[in-house]
Amino acid sequence: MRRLRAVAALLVAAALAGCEAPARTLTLAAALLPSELPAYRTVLDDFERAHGWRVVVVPQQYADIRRALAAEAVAGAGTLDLVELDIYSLAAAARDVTQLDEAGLAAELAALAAAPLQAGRIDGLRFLPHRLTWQALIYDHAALGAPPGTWDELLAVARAHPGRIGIKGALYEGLTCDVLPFVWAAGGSGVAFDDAGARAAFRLFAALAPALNRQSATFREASIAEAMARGELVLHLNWPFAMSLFAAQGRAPRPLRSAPLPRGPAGTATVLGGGYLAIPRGAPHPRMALALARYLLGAAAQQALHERLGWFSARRDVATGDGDELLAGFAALRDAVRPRPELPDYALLSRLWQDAFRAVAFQRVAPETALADAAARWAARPRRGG
Amino acid sequence: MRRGLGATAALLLAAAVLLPLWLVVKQAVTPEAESVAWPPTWWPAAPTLANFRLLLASVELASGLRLSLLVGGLTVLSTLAVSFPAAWVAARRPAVDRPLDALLLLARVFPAIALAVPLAVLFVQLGLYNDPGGRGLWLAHTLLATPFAFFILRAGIRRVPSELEDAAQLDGASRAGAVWRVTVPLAAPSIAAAALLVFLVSWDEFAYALVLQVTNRPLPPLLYYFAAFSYPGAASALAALMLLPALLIVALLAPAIRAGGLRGSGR
Amino acid sequence: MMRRAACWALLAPLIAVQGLLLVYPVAYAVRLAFTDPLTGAAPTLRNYAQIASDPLFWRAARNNALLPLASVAVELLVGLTLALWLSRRFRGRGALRLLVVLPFALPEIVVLTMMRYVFLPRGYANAALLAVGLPAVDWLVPGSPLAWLTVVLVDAWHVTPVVFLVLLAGLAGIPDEVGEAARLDGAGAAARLWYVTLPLLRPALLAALLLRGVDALRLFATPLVLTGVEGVPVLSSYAYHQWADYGNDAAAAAAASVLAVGSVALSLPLLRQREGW
Repeated sequence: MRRLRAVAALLVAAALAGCEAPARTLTLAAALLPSELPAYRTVLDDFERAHGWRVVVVPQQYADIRRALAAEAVAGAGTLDLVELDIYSLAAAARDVTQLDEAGLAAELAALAAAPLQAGRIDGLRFLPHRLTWQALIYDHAALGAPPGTWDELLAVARAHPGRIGIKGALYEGLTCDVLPFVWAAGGSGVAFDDAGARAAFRLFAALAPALNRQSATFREASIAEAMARGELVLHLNWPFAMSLFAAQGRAPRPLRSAPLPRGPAGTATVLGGGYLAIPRGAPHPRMALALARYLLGAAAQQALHERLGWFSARRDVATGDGDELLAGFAALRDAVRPRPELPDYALLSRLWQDAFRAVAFQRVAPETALADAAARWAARPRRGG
Repeated sequence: MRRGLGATAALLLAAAVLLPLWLVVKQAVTPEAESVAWPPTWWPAAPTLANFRLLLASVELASGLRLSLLVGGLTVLSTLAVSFPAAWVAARRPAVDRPLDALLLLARVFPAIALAVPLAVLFVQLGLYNDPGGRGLWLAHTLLATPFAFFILRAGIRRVPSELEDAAQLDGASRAGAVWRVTVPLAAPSIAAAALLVFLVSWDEFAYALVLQVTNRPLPPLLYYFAAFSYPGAASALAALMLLPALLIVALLAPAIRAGGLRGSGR
Repeated sequence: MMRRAACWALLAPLIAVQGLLLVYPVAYAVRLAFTDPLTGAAPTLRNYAQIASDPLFWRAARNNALLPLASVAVELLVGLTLALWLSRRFRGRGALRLLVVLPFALPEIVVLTMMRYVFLPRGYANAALLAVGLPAVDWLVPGSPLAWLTVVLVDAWHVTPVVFLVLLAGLAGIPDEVGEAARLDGAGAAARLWYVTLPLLRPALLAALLLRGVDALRLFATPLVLTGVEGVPVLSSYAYHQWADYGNDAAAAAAASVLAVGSVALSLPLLRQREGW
C-alpha cells in the first residue's frame, strides 16, 4: 500500500507538470538537421526583434511535415503557421495551403529566378522557394583521389571498388532523382522509356549493377548518407544536406567531398529539388506567417542562410557559393539543374522509372526488357478526361 | 559441471541483455566522428558531453520530457479508472468475463498505423490534435493501455476471495465500501504493477505520438528525428535519458518479478 | 448479487473508450478502402485490385504470415527455457529474472535504434565477429533469409520477457508435489517435462501464444527500422509505404484491412481454445 501511494504521488506530480500559455508565437516546421538548427535560429533573430513575436522552429523530415499539414487541413484548423515542403510534394499539398497575395510580395517575387518561382504556382501562387537544392556526387577523396568525371571513369571506380557504389534504390521518389540525371545526361527526355538516352542510361545501370552496395535496394537519403559516413561506400548521389551532416560528423571536407555528376554522352544534368514555404489553410496567424515568409525570402535572410548554412538561394542577387569547399561540386552543377517533367501522370512516370531501375539493378533483368515493360505500362495508363 | 553450465548461461544472458544497453550509454558520451568510425569502439576513446549539448540546443527537450510525463501520468489515472470497475465485474462474474476478454484482445488486432491517421482526423475535429497538453495522445494511449491494465487487475482481484467482500458487507459496509476497504488494499500490488506498466506503455509508445503530436512532441518522436537524420550520438543521448524511467520501473517492480512474475501482465 | 444495471454501469467506461476510439477510425478506414481515390465512387474494389497487382504486397502478405510464426516460436522456446531454468531454486535467481524482464521495459524506438547500430554492415556485431577472427556477415541485405532472421531475433529480444513472465507465473501455479510424484514413479527429466509440466502449463502457453500472436501479426516498426520498407516487408509497413511514399491512403487502408481480417480469422480459433489463466 505504501508503494501504491508513492506511485500515485509520482503520477500526480507528473500530471501537474503543467501546460504553457503561448502568446505571440509563430510555429514554423522545416526540414532542418539538428546541427543546422542553432544557425537557423540566429537568422530569425532580426525578425523576432523587429516584430516582437517568437518563432518556434520545429525541425522535422519533409514526410512528417506533409503528414501534419494533411491532418490539419481536414479541420481547417491547426498549430502550424508556416511549413517547408519539398518541391516534389507541392502539387499534392496545394489544396492544404492558402493562395498567396502576389501584390503584397511584389518586391520579393521580382528578385527570384523565374523557374523556381514558377514551380511554386499551382492553382495560383502558393509556395515560395525557401532554398533550392539539387543532387551532386559525393565521394571519398581518400579512397578515390579524384572523382570520376565521365561514365567510363565511373565504371572504372565501380570495378575497382565492388560493393561500394551506392544508389538510393528504395521504392520512392528519391530513386527517380538518381535515375533521371543519367537519362538526361545521355540525351533522353525523361518522359519516354524507349528513347536512346533511356537505353544508354540503363545499359550503364546494368554495367554498374554487380558493383552496387547490397543495401542499395533500401537506401534512402539519410540511410545512404549514414553508410557513406561509415565508410561503407566510396560514392553516391545526394542533396546538399548530406555534406552538412558529414561536416557535423567530422567526415567532410576530408575525406568526403562533393563533385559534379559524371558527364554522359550528352553532357551533365541533375534534378531540381528545393524547400518551399507555404501557409497552411488553418494557420492560426496567417498574416504574421506571411510576414515571416517575406522576411525569409528577403535578401538579408537568404544571404545569411547561404553563408551560415550553405543553402542555395532562388534569389538572383544572392551569391552562388563558388569557393565553398564543402559544396563545390554542387555549385559547379548550378547550370545543369533541370526540373522534373511536368505531367499530370508524373507519379506513375516516376514509379515506372523506379520499377525499371530496380528490375535492372536488383533482378538483373536486361535493360531493353525492363524499359520495354515500362514503356508498355506507360502507354496503357488510363488517361484522364478523355 | 552443472554449476559451470549455469554460470555460463547466466553470463551469456547478461551479455545479451546488457551489452546493447551499454552501447547506448557509450554512444551517448562519444563524439559523432568516433561513433561513425570503423572499427567501432567499445569504450569511448574521448568521452564528451557534446551530444547532450546538441540535444539541449537543438530541440524542445524540456517540453518533450514534460509532455511525456504528463501524458504518461494522465494515462495511468484514466486507464485505471476505466479498467478497475470492469476488471472487478469480470473477476466476479464469469459470464461477463469471456466476452470482455475476447473484446479486449480483438480490439488490438487492427494495425496501429491504420488507426493513427483516422484518429488524427477525429482529433482535429475535436480540437485535440497536436494538443500542447497532449490530450488527444492521452486518449489514444488510454485506448492502447486499457487491455494491459484490465488483465493485470482482473488477475489481482481474482486472488482476493469474494467472501471477504461479503464479510465486510455483513459488517455494514456498502458493496462499493467493501471493495474500497477490502479488495483495493489486498489488490494493491496488482494496482501498482498495472499503474507502472501503463505508464511504461505510454512512455514507450511511438506510432500514435508520431502522428498525433506534430509540433508538441513527446520524447519518442524526438528520438526518431535524431535517428532518422543519422546523428547516432545525439540519438543515443536521448535514448539514454529515455531508459532511466524504464529502469526505475523495473526496479520498482523488482520484488514482484523476483517472486515469480506478474500474473496476467502480458502485452 | 449485482444488479444488471450496476454491472453495465461499471463496464460502461471501458466499453465507451474502446468502442468510440476504435469504431470511428475503423469505419473511416473501411470507407476509404472501398472508395475510388480519383473519382470518389464507392463501393469499389479498385484499391484492392491495385495492391494485388503489386509484387511488394504479396511479399508483405507472405512475410506477415511467416514472420509471426517464427517469431512466436522463438519466443515460446526461449521463454519456456528461461522460465523452466529460473523457476528452479538457486542463488542469484531473482537477479537473473530481472535481467530477463529488462528488455521489455525499454522503449521500442530505443531498442530498434540501438539494434540498427548493432547490425549495420559496419556495426558492433560485425566488429565483434572480426575481433574473434570470424568473417563479417551482411545481416540486413534486403530480401535475404538472414535479414528475415535478424528481424525475428530482434523482435524476440524485445518481447520474449512477456512470454517468460506468463510462463513463470504458470509454472509457479504447478505444485512441487506433482513433479515429485512423477519422479518417484521413475519418470526422467524429459518425460516429466513432456507428460507432466507441459500439459499443466497448457493454459499459460495458450495465453502467451494468443497475446504474442495477435501482436506479432501487427509487426511494424522492427522490420521497417531495421531493413526499410523493401527489405523485409510486412502488411503494416506496406500500408505505411503506400501512405507515406505515394500518398495513397486508400491503398494503405486496403492493405491494413487485409491484415485486420486475417488477424481476426487467425485469432478466433485461438480465442475459442482459451481457458481461464
